[in-house]
Amino acid sequence: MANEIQLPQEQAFQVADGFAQLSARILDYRVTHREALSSPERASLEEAEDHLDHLVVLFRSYGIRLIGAGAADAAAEITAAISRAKATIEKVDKIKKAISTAAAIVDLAVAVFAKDPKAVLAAAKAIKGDQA
Amino acid sequence: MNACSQVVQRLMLVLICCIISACGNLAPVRTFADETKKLSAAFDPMLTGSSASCVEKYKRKKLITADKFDPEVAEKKAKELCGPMDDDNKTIADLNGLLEQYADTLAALADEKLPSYKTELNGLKDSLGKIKKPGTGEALINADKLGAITALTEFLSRIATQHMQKAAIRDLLSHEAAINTITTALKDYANLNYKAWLRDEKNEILVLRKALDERAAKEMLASNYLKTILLSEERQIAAREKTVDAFIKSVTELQKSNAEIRKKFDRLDDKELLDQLKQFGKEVAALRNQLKDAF
Repeated sequence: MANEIQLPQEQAFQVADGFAQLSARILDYRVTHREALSSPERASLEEAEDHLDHLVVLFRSYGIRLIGAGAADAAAEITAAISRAKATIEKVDKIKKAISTAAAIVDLAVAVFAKDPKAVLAAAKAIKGDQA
Repeated sequence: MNACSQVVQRLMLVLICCIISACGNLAPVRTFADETKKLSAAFDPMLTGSSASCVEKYKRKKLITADKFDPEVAEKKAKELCGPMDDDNKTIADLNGLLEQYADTLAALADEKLPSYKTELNGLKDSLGKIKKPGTGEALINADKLGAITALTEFLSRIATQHMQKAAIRDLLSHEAAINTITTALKDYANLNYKAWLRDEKNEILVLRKALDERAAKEMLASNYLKTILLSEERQIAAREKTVDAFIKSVTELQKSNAEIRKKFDRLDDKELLDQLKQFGKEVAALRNQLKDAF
C-alpha cells in the first residue's frame, strides 16, 4: 500500500520541479535578452512563466494531498489509540475522586454523630464538590 | 515489638521501595514524549513557510523583472497563485497536531504523579482519625494502625495503577508503524515540498541578480539596494534549508527511539535505549537552534 502511494507522490513533486526549472529558464532568457526582446515578446514570456508557476503550485498541492492520503489510515489508528489512553487516565482520576469522596463521607458521619451542624454542612458541601 | 520483627519490617520497607522505584521508572518515556513534542512544534513554521515562500518568490520576481510593477496587484496575484496550497496544508497540519496530541497523552500517562494516591489517601486517613470510640474521646483506630492501613492501601493501589498505566503506555507505543507513517509524511512534506520552494527561491535569486547587474548602470542606487536585500534573503533561505535537514535528521532519530523504547519497554534503564534517547534529544536541540536563525 505504502509503495503504491510512494511513486506517484514523488512523481508529482518531480513534475512540479520540472515546471519550476522551465519557468526559471524562461526568466533567465527574458532577463539576459531584455534589450533584444520587444515589449510584447517580454510580456508573453512573462505570461508563460506565470502559467508554469501556476502548474508548480498545482502539482505540489497534488503531492501534498497524496502525502496526506498516504497517512490517513495511520492517523485514524493513532486517534483511536489516543482516546483509549485518555480513558485510562480518566479511570485513575475517577478512583482518586472516589477516595476523596469517601473521606468526605466519613467527615459527614463524624459531624452527624457529634451533632455539629456547621461541620455537617461543610462536610456535605465537600461531598458535593468531590462528585462534581 | 522485638528487634527481629523490626529488622523484618525494615527489610520489607526496602523491598517495597525497590518494587515501587522499578515500576515507576518511566523517565525515558517522558523524555521520548517531550522530545517528540518539541519536534512537532518545530515543524509548524515549515507549513506557513511553504505558502510564504511561494508568495515571496512571486512578489520578488515581479518587483525586479516586470515591465509594469504595481505592488498591490502583485500582492493580490501572489495570494491567488499560492492560495490553493493553504487548503492542502491543513491536512498536514492535522497530522502534525495528531503527533503533538500523541506526545501529550504519552507524557500524561508517564507522569509519576498519576499512580500516586498519597494526597487523596492522606485526606481519608485524617477523616478516619477523627472517628472516636462512643462515649470516649479516644480515637477508634489508633494512629499507628491507621498509618499502616493507608500505607498498604497506597502501595496496593499504586501497584494496580502502575500496571494499568504501563499497559496503556505499551498500547500507545505499539502503534510504532502508524507513528512512522505520520512522521515520514511530515518529513516528505519538508523535503519534497518546502525544500523545493526554497530551492526555487534560491535559483531565482541568481537570475534576479543578473537582472540587477544589467540595470546597475542606469539605476545604481536601486540596484545596490535590491542586491543587499537579495543577499540577506539568500542567507535566510540557506538557514531554512538547514532547518529542513535538521528536521529530517530528528525524524530519523525519533523513529529509531520509538523502535528502541518499544523493544525495551520492560527494561527502560537499558544503556542503548538511553543513548538513543540522548541522540534524539541532541538532534532536536540542534533543530531548535537552527530554527532560531531561520525564522
